[in-house]
Amino acid sequence: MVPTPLPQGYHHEMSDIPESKGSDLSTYTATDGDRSVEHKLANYLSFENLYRPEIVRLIYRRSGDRTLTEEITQETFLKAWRSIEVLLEHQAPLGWLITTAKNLLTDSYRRRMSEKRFVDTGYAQSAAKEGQSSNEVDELMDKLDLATAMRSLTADHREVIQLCVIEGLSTKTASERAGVPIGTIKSRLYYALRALRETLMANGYLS
Amino acid sequence: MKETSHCDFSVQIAPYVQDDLPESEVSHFEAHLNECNHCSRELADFRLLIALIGTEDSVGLDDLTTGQETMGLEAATVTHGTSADDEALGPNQTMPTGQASTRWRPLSTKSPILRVAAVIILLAVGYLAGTTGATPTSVHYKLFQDASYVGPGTVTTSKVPGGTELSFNLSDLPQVGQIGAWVKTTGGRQSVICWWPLTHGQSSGNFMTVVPSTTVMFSVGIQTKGGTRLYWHQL
Repeated sequence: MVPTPLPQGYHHEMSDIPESKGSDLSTYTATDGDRSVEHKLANYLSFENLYRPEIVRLIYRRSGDRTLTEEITQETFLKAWRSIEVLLEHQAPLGWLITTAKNLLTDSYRRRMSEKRFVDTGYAQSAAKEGQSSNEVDELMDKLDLATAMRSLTADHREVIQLCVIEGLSTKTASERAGVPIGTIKSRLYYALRALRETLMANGYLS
Repeated sequence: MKETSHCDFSVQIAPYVQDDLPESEVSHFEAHLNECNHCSRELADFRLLIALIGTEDSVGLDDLTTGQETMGLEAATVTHGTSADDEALGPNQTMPTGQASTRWRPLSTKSPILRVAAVIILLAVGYLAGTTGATPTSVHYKLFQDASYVGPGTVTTSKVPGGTELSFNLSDLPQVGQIGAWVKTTGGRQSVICWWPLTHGQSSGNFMTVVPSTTVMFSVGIQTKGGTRLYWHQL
């Protein structure tokens, strides 16, 4: 569990980016469409160079997994490429990237949990009868388990998880919001996560 | 490595995972991780927990105060087993609303049209979470736009597994591409939880969504993309 250096030199997966036109460049005349694509590509590459290190650092800090970090980063910027015109005009593109990357990471972890879980409960069977897929059933199970565990926490613990994890506030901002010292927020967050883990382990969600 | 059941560094673990630890403390903390089994185990567990809990956006919440919605862009999200979110975003499109943790279900229409400008409709229903019992409660509202009456609407809240179901019955809708439902949570945050596309000419419909029980709601509302506000007022 020793932190390892951040991965370097990611290969850019550009399969979604249009390939260059033809091999005989001496006779090729660029069209307006080509120039538009080139302009888009140039904008995208500048955008990615600017923000990629931040996303890599964030996801690696959160996962501790180089391979997963690479996958999440690739997917995040693939989505960014597909929305680059909008993102370039966006007021907070880094915020969009961070949220996207976090959501992809959450989905990846939940998918892993689903793969490990054997779903054979009355609720799951009931949902299956209604035509819901196993993935939908898993999502419902996730929600139920997490919601149940959250409800079992004390009000202080629920609040600190809401502020620091769900809303993503810094401990400083969370302390201002909750009206308690930063040290108290850090301590509460630690014990809240421990309590949540214990509950999830007790109901079999985590092993 | 140290084998302990408690470590003073433990409170640093979550801030470290959340990238909230001052850079000056990061290297010190990482050096500590090399020699403390307790913190290393807690780190692995907390990473999993924090990722599983997700963000507000991963349950479909989008802060109105950030102005992101006016740019026609929402954070990309992922739904198991679908490639719907692989479509590109255009300036008049939003990402599909399927989420890692929550699936939003429009009841009335499938056909997305253009998004238009700016309207926000607020719907004050008081403290919903924890107050609705097994029996659905229905509250009726009038819709106002800049103090001019537009049309009636109702919302029904009911407890369902994992959260609170909000079922809107709306009429006299403005001619817009999409409408969205938002909730106001603790701390006064107003966040969009889902968007529903409207068909051309559609002026009414039933719309349903489920708000996770982890979200404590103080009010809910309906809005369209943009800035001009419409308000719901209780009859």
